[in-house]
Amino acid sequence: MKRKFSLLLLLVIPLIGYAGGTVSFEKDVKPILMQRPAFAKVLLDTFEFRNTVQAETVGREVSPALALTRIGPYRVFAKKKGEAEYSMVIQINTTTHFLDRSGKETKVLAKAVSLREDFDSIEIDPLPETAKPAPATP
Amino acid sequence: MSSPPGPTGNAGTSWIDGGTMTRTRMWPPSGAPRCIVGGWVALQYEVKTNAFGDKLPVIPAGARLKHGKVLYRLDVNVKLLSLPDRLPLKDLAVPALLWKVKYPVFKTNHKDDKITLLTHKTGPDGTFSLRIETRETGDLRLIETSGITDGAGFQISLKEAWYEDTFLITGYNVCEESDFSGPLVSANGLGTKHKEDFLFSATGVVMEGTGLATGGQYIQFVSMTTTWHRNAHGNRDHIADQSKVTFQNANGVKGAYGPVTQGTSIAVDPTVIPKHSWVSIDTVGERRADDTGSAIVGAHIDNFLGAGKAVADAWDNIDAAKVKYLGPRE
Repeated sequence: MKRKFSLLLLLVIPLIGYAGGTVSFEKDVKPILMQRPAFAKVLLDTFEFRNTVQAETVGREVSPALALTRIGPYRVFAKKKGEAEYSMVIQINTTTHFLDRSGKETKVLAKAVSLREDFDSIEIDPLPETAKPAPATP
Repeated sequence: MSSPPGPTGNAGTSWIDGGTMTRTRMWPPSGAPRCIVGGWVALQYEVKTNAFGDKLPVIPAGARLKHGKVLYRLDVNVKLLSLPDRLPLKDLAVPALLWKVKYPVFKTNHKDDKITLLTHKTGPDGTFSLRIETRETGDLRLIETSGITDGAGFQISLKEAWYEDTFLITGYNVCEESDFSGPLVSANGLGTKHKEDFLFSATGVVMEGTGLATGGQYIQFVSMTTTWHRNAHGNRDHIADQSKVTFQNANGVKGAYGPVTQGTSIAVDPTVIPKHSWVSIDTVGERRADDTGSAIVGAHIDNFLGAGKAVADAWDNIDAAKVKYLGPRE
């Protein structure tokens, strides 16, 4: 069943994110957005995204088979097209399904050997002054 | 036909290291000298400049380790000069001249090395090119055995090499208690109280495996027999029953091959970069392969950043970094 997308939420709350690792927006996050092509087009036509995206990381002690695998939520600095500096953080929420060796979803992460992520929703926050990123890589 | 100039009857080989080499001596190696195309042939060797602007070997794109060894690829220009006048032997068909006389005329000191001819005719300056592929570090000696040349050898020592692929460089870190909020709680396996979210949230130790506590002590996840609570979106936000999770104190962060250290350790694809070997990453510095991960595949390096949100915020991915293989260190 298709999930109903959340509206773009402008939340005036501090960004809470501890990050466990980064991924590439182009390589790792864009494919997740493209699960909903029309929505992805709106986002990609409206915003420019930094290619460094912060994500959660599955620890080796939690799931040896998935060690260092990234999962959502993904948090990325973004700006409206044409703006000079990043001014917001877009959080891409996903639903993560951990799969065991037989391909069935498991609640026991220690038994998970792969995962599948479904695009769920996004949240948009203003970028806190303390979290201004380094200049974007060309 | 007369013998070539220079000392005679001095069998054996004198090797010249790296760079541009010229040899005119030790003639004949044994027996009576032979000649072709109306004269003797001298050889000059020069390692070709690679795409990185130096003369290091290259590890070919997509190459994987075999028995833990990288594949070195080295292209060498070989100039053929007539003797005694040392004029370039231009526009000569190399296979007819040197390659398929009766047996492979070039060989190395390693039996599994592969040598291929890159150009089949000598150019205007008498040069043709060959490619050496080897997995052996240390001395590589190229030997010419046709008997129609002066038998000049070539030697180079192999250790460092450029990866032909550019790499995606991402960063990873462990969580730090000072970034979290919430009440202090006790937990199985720990004698001290810690912030609830640091231990039990989906961004805490229970997901990331290791975290740095406020007192400087590392805390490691051990096991759990409970499930995750899910938020309104259906996403995991924290552990359902904290009493069914066990932690332990640890001395540091554990990687696949041992402890990982900020500023030193990286996670790599172990079929691309050998365990514990060093690499130099453009704009990052020298790092050691101390860790692996199922998501680190091919030309991808995950740089260990340390603990906490600040180190992650300061990190910027590199999409296409040049990486030099430096090899193991004692």
